[in-house]
Amino acid sequence: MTPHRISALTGAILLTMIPAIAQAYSGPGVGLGAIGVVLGIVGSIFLMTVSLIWYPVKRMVRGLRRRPATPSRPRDSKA
Amino acid sequence: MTGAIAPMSLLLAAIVAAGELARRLHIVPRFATLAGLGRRASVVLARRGVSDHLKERATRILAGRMMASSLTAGAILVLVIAPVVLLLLVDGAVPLGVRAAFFDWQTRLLILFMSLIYVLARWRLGRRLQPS
Repeated sequence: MTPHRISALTGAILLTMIPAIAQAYSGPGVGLGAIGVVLGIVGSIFLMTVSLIWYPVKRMVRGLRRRPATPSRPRDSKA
Repeated sequence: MTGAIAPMSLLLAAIVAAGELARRLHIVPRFATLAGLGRRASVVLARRGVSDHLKERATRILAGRMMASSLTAGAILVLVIAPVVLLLLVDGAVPLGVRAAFFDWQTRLLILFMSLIYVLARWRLGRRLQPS
């Protein structure tokens, strides 16, 4: 661990020991609502990723597998 | 305690305004819609016997709807809590004693009882005013 990281960690631990009011309270309704909104955004990003990356890649891989192998050119027999 | 009546009334008014906004803006059905979209998306992804092309289109449409629904619900949530947040912000600039009242347990208890009375009165009034 570098000295910078050690000092940052020490500073963070010392900050948690200061008994000050955070004034960051949110009630259960707002908290659950915020969690719901975040889950909705994450879910929509996941769905977009699935529709834009997963299915096209799957289709491409299937297409590559189905494509018949190109016939190799027969070697000229010198015999 | 007497000096805390004005900030307490302000807080109560802000809480009532937040409750009324939540009722008027139909915040709960929006979250129900969001949950329904998530359920539909999981059904579409798990469904067998449907072509990948159709699944791709369906997930794309559902993703757009889900994003729009989440952002709308978030915006409404911000609007609903705006009265309380605004009051606390104003109290930061012009000291009204709202923050002190916010962290005083006696004032909180009083606000809790008065909010419950308001909710009960609102519920009874809403039931009486409902067309039969």
